[in-house]
Amino acid sequence: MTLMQEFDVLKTSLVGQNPKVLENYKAMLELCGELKNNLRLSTLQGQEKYVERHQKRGKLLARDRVEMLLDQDSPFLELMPLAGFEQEDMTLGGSIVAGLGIVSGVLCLINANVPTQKGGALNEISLLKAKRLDEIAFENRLPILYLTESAGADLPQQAKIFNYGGSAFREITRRSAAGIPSLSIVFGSSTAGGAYIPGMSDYIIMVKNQAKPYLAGPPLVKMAINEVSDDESLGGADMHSRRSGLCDFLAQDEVQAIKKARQIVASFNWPKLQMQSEVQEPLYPAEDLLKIVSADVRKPYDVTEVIARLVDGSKFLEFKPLYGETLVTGWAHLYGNPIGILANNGVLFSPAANKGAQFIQLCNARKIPLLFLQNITGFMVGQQAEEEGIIKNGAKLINAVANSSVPALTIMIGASYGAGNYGMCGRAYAPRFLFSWPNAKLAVMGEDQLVGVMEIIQQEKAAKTSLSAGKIFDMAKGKMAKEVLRKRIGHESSAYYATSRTWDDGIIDPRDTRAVLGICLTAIMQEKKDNKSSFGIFRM
Amino acid sequence: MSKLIHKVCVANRGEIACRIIRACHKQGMSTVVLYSRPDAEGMAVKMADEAICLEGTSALESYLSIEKVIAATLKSGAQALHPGYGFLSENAELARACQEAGIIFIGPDADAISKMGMKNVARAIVQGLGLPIVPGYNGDEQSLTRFQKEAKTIGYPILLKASAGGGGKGMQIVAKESELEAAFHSAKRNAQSAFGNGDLLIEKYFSSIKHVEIQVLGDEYGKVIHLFERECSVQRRHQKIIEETPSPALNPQLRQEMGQAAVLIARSVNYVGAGTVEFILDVENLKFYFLEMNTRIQVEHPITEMVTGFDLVEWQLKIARGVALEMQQDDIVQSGHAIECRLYAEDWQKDFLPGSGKVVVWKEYQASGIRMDHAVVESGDVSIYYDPMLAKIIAHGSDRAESLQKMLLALSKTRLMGLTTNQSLLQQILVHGQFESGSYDTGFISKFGDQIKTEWQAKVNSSNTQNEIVMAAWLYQWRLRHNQQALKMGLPSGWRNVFYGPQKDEFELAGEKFKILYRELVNSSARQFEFQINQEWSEEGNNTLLLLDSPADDVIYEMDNRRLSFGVGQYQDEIFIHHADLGVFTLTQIPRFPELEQAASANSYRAPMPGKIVKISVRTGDKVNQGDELIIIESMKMENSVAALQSGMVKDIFVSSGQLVEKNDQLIQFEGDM
Repeated sequence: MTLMQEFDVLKTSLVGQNPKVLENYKAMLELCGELKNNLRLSTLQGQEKYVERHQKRGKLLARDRVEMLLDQDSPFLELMPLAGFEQEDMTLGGSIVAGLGIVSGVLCLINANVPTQKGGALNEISLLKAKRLDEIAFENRLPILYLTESAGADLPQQAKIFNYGGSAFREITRRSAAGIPSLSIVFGSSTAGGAYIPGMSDYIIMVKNQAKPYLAGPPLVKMAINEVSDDESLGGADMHSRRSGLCDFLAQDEVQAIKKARQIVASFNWPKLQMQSEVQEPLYPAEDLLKIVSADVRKPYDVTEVIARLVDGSKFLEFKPLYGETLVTGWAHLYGNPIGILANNGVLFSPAANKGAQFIQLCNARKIPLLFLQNITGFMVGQQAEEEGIIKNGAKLINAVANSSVPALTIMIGASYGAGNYGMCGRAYAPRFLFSWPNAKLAVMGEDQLVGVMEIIQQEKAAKTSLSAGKIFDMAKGKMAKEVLRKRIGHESSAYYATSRTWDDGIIDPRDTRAVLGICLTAIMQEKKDNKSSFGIFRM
Repeated sequence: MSKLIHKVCVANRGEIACRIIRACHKQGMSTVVLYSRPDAEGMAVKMADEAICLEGTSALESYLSIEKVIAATLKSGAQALHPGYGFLSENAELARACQEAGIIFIGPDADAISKMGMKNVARAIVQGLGLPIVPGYNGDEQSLTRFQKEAKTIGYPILLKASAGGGGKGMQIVAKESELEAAFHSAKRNAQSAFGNGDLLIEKYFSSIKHVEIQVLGDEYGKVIHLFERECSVQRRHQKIIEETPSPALNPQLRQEMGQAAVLIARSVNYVGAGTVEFILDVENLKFYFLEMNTRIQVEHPITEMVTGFDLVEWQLKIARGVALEMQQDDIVQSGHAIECRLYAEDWQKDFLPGSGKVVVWKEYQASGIRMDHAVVESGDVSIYYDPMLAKIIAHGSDRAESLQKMLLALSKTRLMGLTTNQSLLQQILVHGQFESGSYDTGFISKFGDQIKTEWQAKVNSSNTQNEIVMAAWLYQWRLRHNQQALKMGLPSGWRNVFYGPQKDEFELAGEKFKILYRELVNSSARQFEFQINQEWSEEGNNTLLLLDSPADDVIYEMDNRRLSFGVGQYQDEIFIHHADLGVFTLTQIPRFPELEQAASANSYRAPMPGKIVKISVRTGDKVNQGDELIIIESMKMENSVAALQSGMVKDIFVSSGQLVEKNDQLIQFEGDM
């Protein structure tokens, strides 16, 4: 008998044929369909002619390399797949396939260049994505496996990436010093800066006749020192295996290289994933989430219905249910792991903020990780709220979130506006992982409110000016500008805009939420090996 | 007055040893079983009250050594010895040695054994009784020229047999004179190794006959009765594989005539104990000829027991104690019909090549009217040293149709995996029109073997059978992986938030590759998969199936509203799938990450089976032509020739004569690419 069985089951009041429910379902299914299409775009890996050329050379596509590297049948949680989405000078996914996956029974982070996307050249989004992966690896003590084949920096964008780009190499060696291994398989070009990804890694595998890491290729060498050379002698896998010592394992082909990588991971002496005992699934189907949630963040819904579809056995111990009820707090289990949940059921008033702060302290005392379900338009405003000390009380919540020492996970399940984003552990408050649902909005405030506020300010300004200059506020012109502004703010508040800029770790189908949380919790909770040394491993 | 026997020594192995031990226990006799080294873990050793090791592996070193058997029996303090069948069971020397050592030999006396054991003497006796015998030669003169002359007189085709043998071991048909010389030498060698005596005899070979035998029992007081016939016409390599009683070919009158003839023959040698008089029956004119008498319990004795209600082994023991046969011939009736199928470790698709190895899964079928006599132990080994019979399945019904029905069901429910067996052949025979009608003869296998093979193959190839088998293997492997997987969490296997492509499993079945692409779907109530076999993955839609809960050694799935069920097992890299109607299929999984090794060269010869090298026909440096004999391996009492696949020069020989080899051990290397 587990402790969880002590908790009570959440009841549901969802009625399938209710018109509101049907409307929600239709709209959310549409959003999920759109997400699926966008994600499918992200799997294309570049223009067809480059994909074909690559395959004709007998090389595997980045995603095929990743699939082959992963344990058969094991899950893979791809991170930031839509980074760079609809940004003109960026690539979709940032020319990197990345995610949490299991290799030889070890949970690893995978960072694979997509050589068929602009030669795997790295742009600003690639850099942001890679930096975020470094952060995840460090915080959660996850080995990174690099599948390297990149032309290096996207030269036209060098100004955006060169300066901060160096952190990638620093992070590898800092992790090495902290005992977190990095492994590189070099499948192809890996020039200059690119050469330091394998260069700093603890383990390097190179594919014969393909890998060619060098600081400078034949043309630059000719230019610099007037030496005539070729790829193989400058940076061939064979040379690096026998002469330079840069390569630890020479592989006959890509498949053998991946096999070798799996063997090396097996040698990490890393804690094996614990076999989960049979867990209780929620009592209610995940499909319901699309019926509960409104695609329009302005329409509220009961977040306990969401909780009932995420947690083990739909069992939940609610804390202070009668106090500050716009913030639901309580304990549940996810795949047998205890978790403290904070979820919005409306605007944050002072009691709700206070309750949240208390709850976070309790979870810290008990060492229970936190799960934030954000659907928040902000802290309450107005005279009464101010008098009740909403700033002071909001500050307590933000203080508690900022200084909480237990890991946190955040899911954007609706609105995320204003300081509510901070109090509910938005990106700036460093949750270990943060994902959005496709209906999520992220902004300082809702676009209607923002446009309204702007209008009032401008009308006031115009009134002042017209008073002095005798001009009349042009209502028609104002209305047009208002629409343009509303559109722009709406666009910039969308989940796609946020995910494109790596403000989250990805947009997920709400029905996948439990699975995503489970994998993230595994990354957070698994037994950690603490084997720090004073230096990263030097390559000899 | 009957004697007391407290302890019986069982000088045999396998199922018959177990059968004897059971019968002994039923009468309150304790047992000591003699065993060779490879049989140390056998069922007989476990069942017996005591066991004595004869040391040595081959039959010659153990079960065939009279000296060792007598010494062990004396050491054990057993008062009686049961020889079972095969080995020394028809050896007069043993019977005599027992008598001298004061041990009761459970069987007839040495005189009866030797008379019936020497074919020419037996024939003379039977001829003297005015009963018909098969034309043949069984003289002391063993020269090739004499055999050539005699064979000509009898007329080809003829049959060469070991004089000291029984049960058809080492028999050879010689169709024409030009084949006689080679067959003669090979048969001699076989006879020598199997029976320690190289003498041969010749018999006329009939092309269409039935093999019908009569079971007899005689007591110490001169009474002999018969327990009717057994028809044993379904044979391969001249060894029986299916026996039934009553024979569909006999009418009551013929049955009575043959029974009386058998009793007469037994009586003429003062036969004591259980014995079998074998006849051949010329189907056309319903004439029978005496073939030989087996002075021991037969493998197929259970069918007689099923229809007569007599426990023959129990009666052997009783008769040995001096108990008289109190029943009258007329009291004995045949009730219903019984059939026996012998399950052999052999490849019926490959000329009945005997097999050996590990029994990975063994499940006997239990039902009313079904009896299984066997000594099979799950994860036990079937060695290369002895007869490859694994089990006898016996079915008893109220009439022939019912017992055939029961047998077919029993065969489909019996599971033996890990070794290649003849199980599916037995199933195919049972549904063959010729067999069903009862009109089959001893040429059944040679006549219909190819047809059966073709039909079986057609069934395997038709209606996606192979795909269904491969899917069972895939789901079996998937489930094994799934059960070992960390981070299961109730996620569908291969879960992705961004779907790129399906998971893949590849198998090889009968030299063909099968690629399965699959993806588990989210389904809270059952494990549902979409999949493709040897087809491209489709975004629009794929096949689907449900994997249902089942015990670990079954795979059950539902597809197109049909529920398919298979037995499954695995040993090392071999996956076994039991299809109820078509037998066991062996698959291997093609690894995700292939080895880098080069393919084997056609210039390299490896052992096709485990066995003993009996002859090396070439020397290093020899130039050989395609088809030339290189090496002879003896396995399961059979000589198997390894011949050159192409002409070339022998570069290296890795084995020597008398050496034991495992399957795939390298034997010979030719010049050329390694």
